[in-house]
Amino acid sequence: MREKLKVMVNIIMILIGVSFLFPMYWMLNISFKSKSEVYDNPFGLPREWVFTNYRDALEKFNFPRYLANSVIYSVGTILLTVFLGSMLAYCLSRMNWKFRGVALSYISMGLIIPVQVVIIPLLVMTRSMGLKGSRLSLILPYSAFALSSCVLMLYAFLRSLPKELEESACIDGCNIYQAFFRIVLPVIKPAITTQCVLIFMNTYNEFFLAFILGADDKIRPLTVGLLNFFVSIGVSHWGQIGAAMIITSLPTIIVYALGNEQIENALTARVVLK
Amino acid sequence: MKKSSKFMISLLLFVMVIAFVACAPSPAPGGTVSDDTKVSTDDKSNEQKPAEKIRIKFLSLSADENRNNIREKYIKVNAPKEFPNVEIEYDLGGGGQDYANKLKAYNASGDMPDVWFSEQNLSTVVIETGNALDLYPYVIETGFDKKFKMKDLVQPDKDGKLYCVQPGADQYFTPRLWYHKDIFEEHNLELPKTFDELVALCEKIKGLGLVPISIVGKDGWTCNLHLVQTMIMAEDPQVAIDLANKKTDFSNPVVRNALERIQKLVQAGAFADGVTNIDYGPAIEMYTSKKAAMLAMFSWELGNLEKASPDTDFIPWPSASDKVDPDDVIQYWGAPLSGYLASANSRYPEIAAKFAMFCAEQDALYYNIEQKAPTMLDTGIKIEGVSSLMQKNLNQFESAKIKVPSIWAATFNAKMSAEYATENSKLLTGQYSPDDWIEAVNRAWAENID
Amino acid sequence: MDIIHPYMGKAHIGMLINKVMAMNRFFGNRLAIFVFSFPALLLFTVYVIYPIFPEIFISFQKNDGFRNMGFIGLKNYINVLQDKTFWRANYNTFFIVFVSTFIALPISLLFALIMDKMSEPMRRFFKFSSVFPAVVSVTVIAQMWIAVYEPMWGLLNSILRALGMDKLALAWLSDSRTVVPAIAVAFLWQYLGLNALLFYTGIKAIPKTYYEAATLDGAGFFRASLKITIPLLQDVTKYLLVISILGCMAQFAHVRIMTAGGPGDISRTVVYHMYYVAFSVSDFGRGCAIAILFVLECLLLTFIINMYVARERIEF
Repeated sequence: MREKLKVMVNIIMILIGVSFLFPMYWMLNISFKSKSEVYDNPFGLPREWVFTNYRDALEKFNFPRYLANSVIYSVGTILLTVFLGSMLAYCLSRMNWKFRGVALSYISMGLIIPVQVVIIPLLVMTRSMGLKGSRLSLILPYSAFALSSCVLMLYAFLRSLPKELEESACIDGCNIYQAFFRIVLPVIKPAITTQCVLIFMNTYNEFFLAFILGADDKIRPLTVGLLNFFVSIGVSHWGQIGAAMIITSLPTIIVYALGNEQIENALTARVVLK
Repeated sequence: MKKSSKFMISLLLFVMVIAFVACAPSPAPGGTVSDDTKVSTDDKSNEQKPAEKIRIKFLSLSADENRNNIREKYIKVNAPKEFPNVEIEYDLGGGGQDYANKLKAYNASGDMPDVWFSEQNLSTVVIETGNALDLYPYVIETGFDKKFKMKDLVQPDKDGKLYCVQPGADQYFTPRLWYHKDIFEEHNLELPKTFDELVALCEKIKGLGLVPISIVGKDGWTCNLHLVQTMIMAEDPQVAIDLANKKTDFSNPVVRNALERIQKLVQAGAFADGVTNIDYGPAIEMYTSKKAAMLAMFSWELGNLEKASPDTDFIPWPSASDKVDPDDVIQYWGAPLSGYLASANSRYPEIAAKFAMFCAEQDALYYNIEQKAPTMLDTGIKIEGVSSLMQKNLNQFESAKIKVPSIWAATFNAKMSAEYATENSKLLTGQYSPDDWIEAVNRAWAENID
Repeated sequence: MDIIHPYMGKAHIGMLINKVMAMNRFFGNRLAIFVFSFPALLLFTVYVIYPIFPEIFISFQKNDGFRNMGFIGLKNYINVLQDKTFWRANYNTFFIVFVSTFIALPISLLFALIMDKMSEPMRRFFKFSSVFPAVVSVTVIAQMWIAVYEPMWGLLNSILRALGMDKLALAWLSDSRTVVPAIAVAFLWQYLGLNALLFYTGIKAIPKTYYEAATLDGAGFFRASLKITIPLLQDVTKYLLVISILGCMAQFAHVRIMTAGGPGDISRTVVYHMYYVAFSVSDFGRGCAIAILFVLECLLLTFIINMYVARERIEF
């Protein structure tokens, strides 16, 4: 009886697992169909394999530029956040500072404020700073909002390091800057790598800020560029839409397929540290 | 020690840069915006060699193929002949929201381009701020008004001011009910002359497995632009005229009947499933691919429809009352403030006004020559080679005795349009009460009228 | 001197004191503290904390996004609170929060509990496929669900028609009754697997000894889960609750892409309403008022969660 139940549960879980993947398979399927076949034969394999959808979609959809923008935003945000965040985390965890506790609570406030709340003044500020239409207008807010989680995670990690770490450096006559960059940073590399993965995933797929501040075609990332492509296909050619979606997801799929262990570790690291 | 001090300096620099950027002179919250790029071009148009080279700035849409053609092939080409001593700087404003934002930014800083193109909603914003030039004296002086077949287009408003000149192509566009002759013949369907016949026809077509009428349901587009007004005019065109003149509001019983008629159509299955998500392109395609037997669309699509479906024909919208003859009542498109405007603060108001009129003429030339479409502004060009369908459309248009302007295009401000669109979208679900619609729309209308 | 370690002589004490003083100087370097902390705090303040203040200012003005057109006191707030659409948006938002908390999270928890009992390859497969949607761009997922919900040839209606349930094949995104649940499903589906994974990580941290003791007492799967696993997952649960509720409150992409708040304003959420008022109608004053009200709602929710969930700390 127990065995039968186990088998049933296993089958159900496999079905559920497959159902998470099924919609992507379905879009893949559609991307090879002609416009009319999408309507007549939504489910099955294409009766006529149409390969032009991909080429047509690429013509109308400036994939390389949007991809480059997305990467620029992700990498830029990672660099800025990790650089500033690690310094702050170090200061909070290892240095003697009166306001450590206050600063820590201060930074934690960033976790409760979703970016949607401040988008209106952010737009006004961006305009008046003259940044509207530049990539910096997105990188700066992305970093600011990623700081909270980054600092908190690095803080927790740094606290677990032994105090003796800097001692030998101090004796040798280093100052604190050298100690930080030469000794501490390499030690917390795993935490930094985790942060890099997390920030990358959040920024690459971010929609709201990019939609409002990053609407200019030059600086648009993939999330927004793809939407405009869908909207601009005057006639809803689902074959091309399917092709565009597959093209857009390919980088993510590849990264995920290759590194899904690390990604899962990164995503769950926050929970462990709690 | 040296390395760390280099570090400190670079860090401090970094911090200073961020501090500078963050604390850059930003105006008080919500204050005026100074656009950096605008300042530089401003300087350009300010430096002028006295009495020799006159520089004016012209802002136009650059995301629309028609607009681009008009600018590149007509305005740019013919301007040097008409304005030999004037250097024109062409500012390309993109399209849609980008264009609106650019114009609004100029407007807020008070520094408009000398001449620009804008649609009704944007024009009203500029006019309210007082940045638009009154063109009426120049129009009269040059006799520009005599070139118009429809005098209303160059009449001053209630304050005696005329802010906008346009080619008058829009005024020829009218909403029609297009249908497939083949499908009607094949299934022995009769063309409806009254509204009740239309409903019965839709039920019949639905039974055949086709979509009876294809409309653009997204954001209530078709209802916004004409269907509600069409249903009003089907019973009593005077109500529509009163609405256009802001003499009545939407609690008028004729309006209520119009809304109920639309509901009847929804419930009879006249429109496709999920119509509220169907956009412009897909709606037209539904018709041309023969999934829908009829299409509710303006006559500006005539050329495309004819090409895609040669069996296309149209009927004027059926009437809902014995007193209304469908052939005699027509709704025409066009907004009085959609076209070319000039800046009240221009250094050369006369040149700006003349350039605006020039642009309107170039627009008209484009429509006459390239699109073979008639315009209210007479350019002297005779339009030849018009298809029989187009001729039928024009003939019926000219012969109609009662012509009512589109309330949406001519009278709504941005807030009213948004509210109207929202309510129409809900109406199309068939699960919304006309009373709620009337209440919400009237509220916005009260603010719109004053 | 007796309190000092007996083996330490005076020299050792000297070295120790020197070391401590050096370390104190090292870690107390005021300039370094400034240099390390200032940039991050500045960036954070400018973009996360500071904007709230101009936002409060603007919410008391008549502002079209380009000019301040005058101080009008509480008019914006009264306007917003009297607007039927605002309350509809709140209803929609809290509906999604409700579904997320009482349906989606428990499903994720169930998945996690089952995952714990799975064989390794099964578990790896399930982890891979269920986390997959969370990794893909939201634009793609939303567009995909549009295709699923398409009334004529979409996946859902095709399945329903194949099963003979034609009457259920509604126009999901156009019908005012189904549009919000449809969006909720599309939104929550994306994170079901990820949340399950997070729960699972928490489960893994529970020492096996507890379970061994339970099986000795004769407890089956359900009782063990109820009495042991779930209480010990309190911290993870609280964390997930906060994250998912704030995520639901703030969600925008799905509404914008799938229905743009439609039909009309039926499927708007609070954030979408704020976006619409500020950017489509160009009323920044009212938009900011909605934003401030939204912040208050978020704070209230966070406060409630902190008060009522996981009040006691549980140590292993």
